[in-house]
Amino acid sequence: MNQVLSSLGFGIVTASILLPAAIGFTLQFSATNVLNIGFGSQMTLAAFIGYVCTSHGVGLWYALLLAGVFGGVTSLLLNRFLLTPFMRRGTTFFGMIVITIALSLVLEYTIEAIWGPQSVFYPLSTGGTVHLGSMSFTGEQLVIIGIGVALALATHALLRYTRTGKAMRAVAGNAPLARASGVPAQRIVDLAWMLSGFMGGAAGVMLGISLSSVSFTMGDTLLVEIIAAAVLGGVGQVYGAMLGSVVIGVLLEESAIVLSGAYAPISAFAVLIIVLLIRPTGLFAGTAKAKGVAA
Amino acid sequence: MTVTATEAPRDVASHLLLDKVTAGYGGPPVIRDVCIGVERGKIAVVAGPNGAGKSTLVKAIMGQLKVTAGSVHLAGRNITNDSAERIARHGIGYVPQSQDVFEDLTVWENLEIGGYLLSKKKSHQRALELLEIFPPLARMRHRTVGQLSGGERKMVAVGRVLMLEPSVLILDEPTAGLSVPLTEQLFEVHVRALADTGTAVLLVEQKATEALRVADWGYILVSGEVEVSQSAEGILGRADIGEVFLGGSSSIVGDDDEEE
Ligand SMILES: Nc1ncnc2c1ncn2[C@@H]1O[C@H](COP(=O)(O)OP(=O)(O)OP(=O)(O)O)[C@@H](O)[C@H]1O
Ligand SMILES: [Mg+2]
Repeated sequence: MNQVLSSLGFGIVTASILLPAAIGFTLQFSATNVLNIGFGSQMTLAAFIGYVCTSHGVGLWYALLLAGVFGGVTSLLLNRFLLTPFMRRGTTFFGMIVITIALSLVLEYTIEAIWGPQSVFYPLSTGGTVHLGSMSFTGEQLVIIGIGVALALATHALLRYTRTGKAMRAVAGNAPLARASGVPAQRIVDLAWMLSGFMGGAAGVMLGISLSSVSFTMGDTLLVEIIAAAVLGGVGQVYGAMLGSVVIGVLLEESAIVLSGAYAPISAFAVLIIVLLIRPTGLFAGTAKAKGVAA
Repeated sequence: MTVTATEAPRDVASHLLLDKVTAGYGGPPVIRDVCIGVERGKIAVVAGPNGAGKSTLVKAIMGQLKVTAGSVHLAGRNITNDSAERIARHGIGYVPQSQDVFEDLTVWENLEIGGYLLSKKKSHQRALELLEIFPPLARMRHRTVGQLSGGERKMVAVGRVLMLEPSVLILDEPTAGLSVPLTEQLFEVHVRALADTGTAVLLVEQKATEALRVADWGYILVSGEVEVSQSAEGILGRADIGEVFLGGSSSIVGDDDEEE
C-alpha cells in the first residue's frame, strides 16, 4: 500500500511533465493535421538549451522559461519553412510522418554531435523533501507539478475564454470556414505551433529536472508516452490529452512497482495497444474522426 | 445544347459580377466563361444538375479555388483571386454546401467566430440580435453544434454568416436536408427579408423551383457553362426546363446524401 502511494507521488510528477508535452503535441496535430514524430527530439533540444542556460549561470526556472521560448520559436519556424511547404505540395498524411521522423533523427544526431553522447546535468538544489503521507516530493518536483497544472489551466482558459483560443479551435475544426469568416488562419496556426513548441520546450526541461540529467535520446521514450496519452484522449482533443497524461503518468509509475524501473515504458506501449484495440478513436472521439485519421 | 449564355444584356449595375470566369481544381477547368451577376436587394438563383459546377463556381468567388481566366468584381472593384480572408472583409458571406458549421464549438461560439472581424462589443450585440432572429438558437446557445439536428445546424450556419452583415450572401444548397416548411421559411422569411434590406443574395439550388419563386433572376449551369440566364418568372414558365433542371416541388427525392 505504501509503495502504491509513494509511486503515486512519482506518477503525479510524471503526469505533470506529460501534461504540457501532450497538450503541445495535440495542439500541433489539431492545428495542421501533422503527427509530428520530431516533437520528442525538439523537446530534447530545448532541454539542452536549458542546460546551456544553467551552465552560464541562469537560474533553473529562468532556464526553463528560455527553453520554452526557444522551443516555441523553433516550432514556428519548423512549421512555416519545413512542414507547410510540403503540405502545400500535397504531401500525404503518411508522407508528412516520414518527414517528421527524418527531422527527429537529424535533430537527435545534431544534439549528439554538439553535446556528445554522455548525459549532461542540471544544477539541482540538495534541499530537503516534503512529505505528504507516504508520498514525498523534492522542492523541484513540487514546482514541476505546479508548472504542469498551471500550463494545463492556462491552455483551458485560452481555448475556452479568449477570442484567439476560440479561433484556434475553429481553425482546427474547419479551416476553410474559419477563413471564410475572416479569421486569419495562417497567423492562428503559427500561434498554435509556437504555443505547442513552448509547451514542449518547458516539458523537456521539466523532464530533465525530474531525471536530473539530459541525454540526446531522452525524447524517444517520452514520445511514446506522449502519443499514448494523446491517443488515449482521442488524437486532436486537448482535454483528452490532459486526461490521458494523468492516466498514463500514474500508470507508468505504478507499473514500475511490478516491472522494475527500466521496463516501465513498456506499460505505455501496452496502454497504447490496448486503447487502439478497444477504442481507436480515444475517449474523446471527435476531431480525429472528422479528419479521417482514426477509423 | 448549343444555345449559350446570356439572353439578357450583361448587367453592369450588378453588385457582384462574374465576367467570363473559368476555374477548376488544377486539371481541365470545371467551369468555363461563366458570366453572372447580382444586384443589391435582389436574389439570383444558380440551378443545375449534380456535378454541373455550382459549388465550384461559388468556391472560385470565395477565393478557395484559383480563377484561371476572367474576373470577379464587387461593387466595381476587381476581387479576382483575393484570399478567402480578404473576401470576407470585402463583405461577401458564404454558407458552404457541407461542413458549414464549427461542430466542436457551441452555438454562441459559432456566432462569435462569424463576428471575428467585429469589435468584442459589436460582436456580442450582433450575436444577441441573431438569437432574436432565430429564436430556437437562443435556447441552445450553449450546446455544441455537432449535437444539433440538420435544420438547427443550418440556422447556426446562416446566423454565423449574418454576423458581419454581408453585402453579398452566397448560400450553397441551403435546403438540402431541410423539410418543405423549413425551406419555405428560409426563403420566404429570411432570404427575402435580407434582400429587402439591400443584400445581394446568390442562391445555389439543384431543385430550384422553390428558390425561383422568391428570386428575381435565374441561371442554369450545365457542364460548367451557363445555359440559361433569364428572369426567375420566365424560367418557371418555360416548359422545356421545368422537369429536367428544376425538379419537382416536392423534396421527397431530396439530396440528403450531401450531408457531411
Ligand atoms: N475537390 C475536387 N477536386 C477535383 N474535382 C472536383 C472537386 N470537387 C468537385 N470536383 C468536380 O467538379 C465538378 C463539379 O462539381 P461541383 O461540386 O461544383 O458540382 P455541383 O454543381 O455543386 O454539384 P452538386 O449539385 O452535386 O453539389 C464535378 O465533376 C466534380 O467531380
Ligand atoms: Mg454543389
